[in-house]
Amino acid sequence: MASLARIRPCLARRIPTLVRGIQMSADTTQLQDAITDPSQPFTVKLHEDSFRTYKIDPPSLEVQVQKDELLKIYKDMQCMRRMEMAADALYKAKLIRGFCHLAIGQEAVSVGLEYGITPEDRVITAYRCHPFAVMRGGTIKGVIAELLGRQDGMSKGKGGSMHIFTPSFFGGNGIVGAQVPVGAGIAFAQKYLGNKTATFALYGDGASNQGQVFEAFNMAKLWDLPCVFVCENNKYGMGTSAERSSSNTEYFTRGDKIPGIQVNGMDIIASRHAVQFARNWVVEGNGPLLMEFVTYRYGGHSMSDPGTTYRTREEVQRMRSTQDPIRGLQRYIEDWGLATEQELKQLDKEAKGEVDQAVEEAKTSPIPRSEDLWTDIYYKGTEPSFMRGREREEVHYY
Amino acid sequence: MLAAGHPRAFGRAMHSARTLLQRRCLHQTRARLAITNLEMPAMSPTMTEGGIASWKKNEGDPFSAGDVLLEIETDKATIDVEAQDDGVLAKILTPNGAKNVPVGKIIALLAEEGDDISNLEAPKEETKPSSDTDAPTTSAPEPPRAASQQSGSVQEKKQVHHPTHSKPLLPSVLRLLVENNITNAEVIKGTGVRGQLTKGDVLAHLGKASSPTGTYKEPKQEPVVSQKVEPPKPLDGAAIRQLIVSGLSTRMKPKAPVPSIPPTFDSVIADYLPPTTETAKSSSQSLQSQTASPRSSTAAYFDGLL
Repeated sequence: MASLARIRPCLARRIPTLVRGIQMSADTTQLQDAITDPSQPFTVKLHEDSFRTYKIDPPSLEVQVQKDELLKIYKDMQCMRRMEMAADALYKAKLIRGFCHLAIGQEAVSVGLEYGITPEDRVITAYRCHPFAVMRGGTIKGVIAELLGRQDGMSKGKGGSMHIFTPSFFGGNGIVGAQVPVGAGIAFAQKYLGNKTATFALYGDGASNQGQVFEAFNMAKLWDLPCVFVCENNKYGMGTSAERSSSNTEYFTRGDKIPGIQVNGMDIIASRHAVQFARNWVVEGNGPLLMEFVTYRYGGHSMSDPGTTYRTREEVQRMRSTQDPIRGLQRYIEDWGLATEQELKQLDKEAKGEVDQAVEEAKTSPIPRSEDLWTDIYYKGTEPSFMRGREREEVHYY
Repeated sequence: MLAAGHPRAFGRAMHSARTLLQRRCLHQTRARLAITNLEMPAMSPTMTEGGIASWKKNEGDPFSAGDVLLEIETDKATIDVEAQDDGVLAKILTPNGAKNVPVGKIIALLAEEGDDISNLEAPKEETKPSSDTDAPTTSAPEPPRAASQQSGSVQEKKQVHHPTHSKPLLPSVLRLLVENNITNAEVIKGTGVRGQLTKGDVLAHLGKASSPTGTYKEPKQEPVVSQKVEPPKPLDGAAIRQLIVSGLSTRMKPKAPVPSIPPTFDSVIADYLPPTTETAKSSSQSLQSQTASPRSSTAAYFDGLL
């Protein structure tokens, strides 16, 4: 079986592209006109294969971008990459224990999502959530400390990777595919309260075949909920490739009556543009929308997975060298004359410094006290009169 | 078949494309200034030490993020270690084949491309490892002290004598011997399997039991009386023929006919009626004079009903 998995990507590459497939490169966006004033937004044109749609017209391929925004995006993506790499190193040093699912290679999805929505929009995802948590109002120190299990963590060190929340970010969920109906519920609440906000419920290609996902689709379409269902298709669900797990690998068409759009998840400009399009579509009251980001993760499913038993190392290296999102944005910035190599190196250094400092601060944070065992179980003020502990004799009175 | 040859050629093409790309583009990460230490990674959460199977890069080789630097041998498998960033392998500190390398130990030094790596020394022993060694040494004297205290409280002798026996000693026996300070176990006679000492032997030796088996008595076995019964004589030819013929004749005799009484109404009904003296008498009478008066008996039967 493992040998079959290795042969399959080679066979897929040899088949000539008669059918128009989605573009996977990170550096194919072209500049439309020469930039006259760097402080003004300028237009760029995306590759024509950046989007594929289902029952909906694709967004326009012309995007307005601005220099400062692109530099900020570059810095954020580099920060997220560094943070995930720091988590990798901490796990290998046995400071982070348990589960650690890293999103190295998928930065364009999280950063693109953040730059396409407003701070009031809601986001919910599964366990590959560290970049989303930081982007949605968290801090790098908070996330690292939470992974380390320290008091400065975003859940006070008591929750871990699958329990990180901010007011507009609903985690951090452990059960595969369980966050999709919850996301539909959040969208329902937004519509009920009359808020003009969108809810983004993310899931992976491995979770796309779960039954409750389709139940959520039905309810969202029935009641026209302002929910965008986002499938992060990184081609592998744990160790099973998408072709081996799904009969229909075009995840953006799985919504039946719900229109869908497939986006190149390695090109940050395409991702951000598609997210803006989706948000506007949904907030206008057109009902739900399905989005599929075609992306790739360089690491394994989690830290206990080397990532090479179901795919070749050459494939990972090829994706890393030719389709890396950060490198793609770097090429854009340099080709369009927005910044020099030195300035980008400076941004890299700043990102690394920021993450290193956050890691050091998180390491100095203490582990939770034993009194903290009893806090944060109930909402403050609604605790019962007593709570039982681990043994019969261990009882805490509030 | 095709696919087998394909990845290699593809990989070579990609490698050359990649080096071309590297020359054209920036590296992914160029932010390091100083030498970074490559520590022994824990490839699984339970790993505490491992061995270096082989280094895939030599000193001075450049590598990019995702390249395999070395293979680590854990107790479970041999796992590749990938590089996180681009760089140059400056110095290898633990060579191929090193065993029992603890997790966290520095195994190599990594530098950025273009750095001067000619005069690199192995880093001096940092304070962290020395503090680790201090902690075990302080904790090591404590357990022996605690152990000696305990043994001193139980008995005055400091060393624990180990009674030996030519046969294996059972744990219960060993405990008794140690508790009662019996150093020479050969003194006690063993009545166990193959001469082993049993708990009862030791207790009897100590005087705490009356005998090695205590109050257990083996049940008396009756002497087998086998002489009275004569062994059956073997049959000769004539006796066998006699046996066969007698068996045949008994088989061939017609069965004695069972005297069947023709059933009358009363006789059949009598089984179902409650046994009363009248019915018993009438049934016996009817048996004797069955053809005489069947009607009167039936009339009598219906007497109580009509």
